[in-house]
Amino acid sequence: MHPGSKMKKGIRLKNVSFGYQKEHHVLENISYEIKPGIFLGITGINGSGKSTFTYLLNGLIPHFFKGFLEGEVQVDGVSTKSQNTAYFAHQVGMVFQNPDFSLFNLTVEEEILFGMKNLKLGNTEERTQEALKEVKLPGYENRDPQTLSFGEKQKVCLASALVLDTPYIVLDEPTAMLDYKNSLELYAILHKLNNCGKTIIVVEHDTDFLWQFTKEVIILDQGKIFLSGDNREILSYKNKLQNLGIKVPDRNRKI
Amino acid sequence: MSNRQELQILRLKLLGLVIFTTLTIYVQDFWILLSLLILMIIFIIVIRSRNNLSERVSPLISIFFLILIFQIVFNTSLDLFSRIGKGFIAGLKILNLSLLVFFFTATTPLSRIGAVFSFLPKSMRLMLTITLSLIPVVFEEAKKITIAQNSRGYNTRQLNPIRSIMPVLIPLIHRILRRSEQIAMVLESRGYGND
Repeated sequence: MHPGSKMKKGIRLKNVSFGYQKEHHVLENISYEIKPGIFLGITGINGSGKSTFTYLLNGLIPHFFKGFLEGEVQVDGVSTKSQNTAYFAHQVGMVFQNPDFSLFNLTVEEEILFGMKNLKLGNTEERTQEALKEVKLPGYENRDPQTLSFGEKQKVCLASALVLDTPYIVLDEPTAMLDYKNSLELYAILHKLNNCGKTIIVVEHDTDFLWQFTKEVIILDQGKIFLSGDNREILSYKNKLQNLGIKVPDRNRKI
Repeated sequence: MSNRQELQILRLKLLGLVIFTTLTIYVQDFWILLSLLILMIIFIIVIRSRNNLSERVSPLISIFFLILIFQIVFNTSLDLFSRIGKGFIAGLKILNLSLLVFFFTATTPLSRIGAVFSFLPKSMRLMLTITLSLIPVVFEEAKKITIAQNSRGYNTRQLNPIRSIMPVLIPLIHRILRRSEQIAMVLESRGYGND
């Protein structure tokens, strides 16, 4: 049975601890249920384990980063230990922090086609056009990805994940190197995708975006979940956020 | 021109490159190598510009002289005149090979070079694509690192080549390794190896 045809159960993390070295846990005893269709934001200071958290969600841990994993991560009921990352590529699309380091094809079209060819998906031309339209880059098919602006590169990375039509999309600090206008455009796309039923999981430092766009928020501190739940409630704990070194969102800011 | 015709022309160009590089490697005649070099220089000046040519050739000049010196100093089995001759031939071969590749890449867009190799197995094609796309990126990053180090007082024109290159080489290797790691993650997360 094709993985995409299974009932969506969300992503479940059960008592997950992970360390790249045995004695040093980057994540410790994480339990959380990411419900299907949610827009989840993950924040925390540098080194709190945010990126590592995202690697758990599509099987990069334990298949790419061997390390020391305890507990279990289930994507739609399938343990990430039981299948390889290519299997989870059907369910979880991933966009990494630095688009400069993610693009390796000679044209935008080849970049977008790459995942579809691997997963043997049909209608490649139609899907490519649709994805480029979705990220507002129509007509960019033959451009060299390395010559694009940073915002455009990040959008190409997003389009490459979108064409796979995965129910979950994970983005690791997608706005880290983008200006405000491009960040806003990216969040508008994510918001639209979420409204279409996609589960969006985004690692973000800018709590204004989390306040405005997400539904739930996780705050990580030293590899542990410090706070989690409804975004407005969690991001209202001004003192707790300040003590952690996280920016308190400007609720009056019009995004 | 249709895609098919374009691809055939590209394949012919590639075949030409292979034949000429093979000939360059095997030819031992100084005058043939020199004629080829002059011919190539004229072609490149006509197609590209003198600036492009000098950018490409100037780092090779030092290699040319290094080869010549090595032949004179270390190839002690021959008399001095033969050593100089051998040095010139070896140096000319390096110049010719480099300019042949430059001529090919200067007249063929990078994106089309990948298409020429469509007959290769998937994994080899991927390796080739990644290599081709990253060559200009690595040069660009080396330039950026050099500028960053220069702004901190680093002098690129030191006599000691190791001391001169290390402040650029180490961060460059670090960046290349980070980039390779992320590309590997991207490949995995986009289903590479799903066969």
